[in-house]
Amino acid sequence: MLTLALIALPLLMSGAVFLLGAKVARSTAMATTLVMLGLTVFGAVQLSLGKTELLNFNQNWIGPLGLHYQFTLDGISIMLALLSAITAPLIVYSTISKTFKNPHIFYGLVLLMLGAMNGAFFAGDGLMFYIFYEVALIPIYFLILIWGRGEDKAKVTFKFFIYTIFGSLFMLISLLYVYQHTTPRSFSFDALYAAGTSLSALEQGWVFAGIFLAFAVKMPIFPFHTWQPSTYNAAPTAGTMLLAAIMLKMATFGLIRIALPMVPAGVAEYGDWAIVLSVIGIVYASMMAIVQKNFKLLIAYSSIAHVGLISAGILSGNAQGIQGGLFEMISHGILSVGLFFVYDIIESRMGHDRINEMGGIRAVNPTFAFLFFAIVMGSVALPFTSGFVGEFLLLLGLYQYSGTLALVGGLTVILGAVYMLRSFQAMMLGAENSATANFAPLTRHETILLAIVVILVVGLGIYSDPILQLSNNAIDSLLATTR
Amino acid sequence: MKELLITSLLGIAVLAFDIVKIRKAILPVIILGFIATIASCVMDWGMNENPFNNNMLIMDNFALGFIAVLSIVAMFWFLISSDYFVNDVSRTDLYALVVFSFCGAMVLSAYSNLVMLFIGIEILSIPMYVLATSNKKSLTSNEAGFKYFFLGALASAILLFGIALIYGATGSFDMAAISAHISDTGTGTIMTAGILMIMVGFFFKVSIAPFHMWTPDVYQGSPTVITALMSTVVKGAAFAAMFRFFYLGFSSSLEYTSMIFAVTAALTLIVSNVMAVLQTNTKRLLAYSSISHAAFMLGAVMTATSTNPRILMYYILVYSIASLTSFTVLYQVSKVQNGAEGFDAFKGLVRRSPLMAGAMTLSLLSMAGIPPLAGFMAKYFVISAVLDAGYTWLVILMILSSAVAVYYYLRFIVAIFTPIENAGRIVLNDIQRIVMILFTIALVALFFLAAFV
Repeated sequence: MLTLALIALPLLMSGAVFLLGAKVARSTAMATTLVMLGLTVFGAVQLSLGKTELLNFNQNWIGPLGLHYQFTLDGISIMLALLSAITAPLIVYSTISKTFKNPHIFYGLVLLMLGAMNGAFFAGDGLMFYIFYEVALIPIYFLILIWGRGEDKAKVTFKFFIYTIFGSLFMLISLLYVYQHTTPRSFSFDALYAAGTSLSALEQGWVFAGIFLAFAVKMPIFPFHTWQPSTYNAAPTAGTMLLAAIMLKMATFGLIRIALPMVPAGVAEYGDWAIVLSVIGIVYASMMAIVQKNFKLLIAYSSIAHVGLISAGILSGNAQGIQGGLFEMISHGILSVGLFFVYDIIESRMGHDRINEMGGIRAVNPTFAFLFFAIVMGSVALPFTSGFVGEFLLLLGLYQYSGTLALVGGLTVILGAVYMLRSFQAMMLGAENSATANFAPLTRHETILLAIVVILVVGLGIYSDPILQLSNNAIDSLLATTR
Repeated sequence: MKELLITSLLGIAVLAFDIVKIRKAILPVIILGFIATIASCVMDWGMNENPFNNNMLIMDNFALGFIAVLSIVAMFWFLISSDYFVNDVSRTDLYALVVFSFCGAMVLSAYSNLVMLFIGIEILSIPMYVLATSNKKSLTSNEAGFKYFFLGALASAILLFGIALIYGATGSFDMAAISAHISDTGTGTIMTAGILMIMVGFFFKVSIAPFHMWTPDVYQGSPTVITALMSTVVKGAAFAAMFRFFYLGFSSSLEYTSMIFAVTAALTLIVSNVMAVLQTNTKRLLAYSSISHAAFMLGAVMTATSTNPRILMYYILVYSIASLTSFTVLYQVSKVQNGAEGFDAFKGLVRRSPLMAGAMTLSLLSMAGIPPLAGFMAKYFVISAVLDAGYTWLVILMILSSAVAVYYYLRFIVAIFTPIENAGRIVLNDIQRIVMILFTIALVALFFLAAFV
């Protein structure tokens, strides 16, 4: 029931926000996300106490076809639930000083998207996962199309939508293929795992290829990433946060939930290309980030690099890789919110985000510089930040798969330091110029939000064990089924 | 039989209304007539009424189901296009023609004799030829009716030839007798030729490639509301007839015809989607989109032995709702812009009429098969049936063509949400507004109600 509530609540509230109108839209959305946070924490407590009766929901939808309303909160999906529950209020909070046209539709779409993404995270049925995976695309499409910026936003969103749909249809083909081998026909993950593992390794390899293509577009993985920087750039900041912090995690989560347990032999024997692509993406995106002149694009490319590492770590298929992937998903989500909020602060004051035209902001606004620096440290995976725990585990997992790839993938830490610190230096340090001299101090809500992000980043880095414990058992049982 | 009687009398009544000059009552009476038809379908459900006149028509559940679905669609068509006929001097004739045409659709859903199949197709088609030309002053409308008539007549002739060949092979027009004959002696050469010719006739009517060439021209040239009728009721009835043909009498022939179905469906998907991408005229684009949906419905027909006809009913209902909405919106936006039918005509629709913009967007997403809209489940049912029949390659093609379809449906959506300067509002009348809202709700609700299919 709890899982159902976590999906239904935002969906119903989005309808309520549409109807209630502009005035109470933001406060309703804020309240809803906070209630979701409370419910999720409650769920996490239940899970750690081993009480699962509230966490599973199973109802027939279309019996003869084997479709179920099946939602489970287990050690893996709780991580994603926590991610979405923690970042959602932050994202809504980040918009508090903004005025949107038709705010009720804006916040309604945000809630709709949160509900759909929770649906994908909790799905215990392959088609349910696919449906929610697709549904989440519609609100973000309109969020960017209507509230986005730039002349070419229609073109950009068009590309984004087509690209993503095209990818996910390959996942549908793969799922249908495995579904065909279930007896009796069922889309529930247990049935799909049983059917998938009974396929020959070659078949599993093809099924994996279809699934990975869908996720590679969504994450995105090189060379399917071309929609991403322009879309992140065109989206309103809250939309970019939703995309980077939560939405792309549906894909990395899908790798753990679908690809690994359903077609383990396909991943192990025919999955090398996917890991290699992920690692290429890490280096490529890091290089691209170094040469970016706009801060938002820089964060967008850095996101590709981080996600590439998550993907490679998960696909290496060992406990450390998966554990690190899950942890890094949370860490990357929080850091993305922080970084894009930093971008938003700069952009709203300067009117642009061109790195080289700034400088000396630290002298004018040391608080901002300090908080920004703490987030940068998290992003470059300094020890005692959440980024370190995630990336360390991921590289450890990748190392067990291949030392060479781990070495190349490890470049992400070095190159990440290069582009993050260089951009920080260029924007914050040095002498102020006429534009940055008047850099307005942080408002209260900006300070609070950045402080929360910094506290989370440092807190998770120092005290990461409870979170890691949550998923331990689930990962062990997942790995037990794949062998 | 009550259903057919009600509708026939309704048609005559509509004609009579012109004589006694009470034109205002026409629309309410028609709606009442359709409600009576639907109610009578519900009441007769499961009764297995006695066959009418030597097994000419059998009102079984299959027939009642399709008649109910098509009645619902036709009723809403009358409501949503209620502003089109208002100023036409001959509007009673046009109304009556639509009702008579609908009688043909009912015959096609209930026939159990090949003669009735032919008669049904003619009753359905002949009023449609006239309706296609009903915009008398427009050259394109005349051209559309002319083309429709010639090619439709040709298709009917081929169909009739096929029926004659089957009669020659079996000595009977009766579906049950033919079916018994096939199971006794199998299908000979003449019989096979007959079945193939009937299939060609059907393919013409439902616009399956390579017999689809007339569709874009006719759909584009006809008045938009008539096009909406063609793509919903007429197409649905023809598919009901095709399904019934293989479901009742010729299921054994599916063994060798299903490959033909699969290949033509594949061809249709490729041709329609490639052509749709190239279109700049939205009405023509919707015509190609209608062709591509025919390929999906064909997928339901080719599995007629193993699947439930309810899959096809569901598909027709869902597609009809989306299609009625999109053609109506197209009609409304082009009406206020001197008949413009490019994507530009849709620009700023979100300001001009938020309701139509929302309804159109949901319809397009539904036609593209994106959850949580009913179009996804409709396609999913067909795909799952085709998959069970063993045509994995066709399923892959269907899914990929859906991705292409997203491309051209999205072009509408982009236009709808592109802001424009000084946009005047487009006002619908109250009935249309209510129907639009109902359609929007239905597209989401039917997704969840798919469990009852």
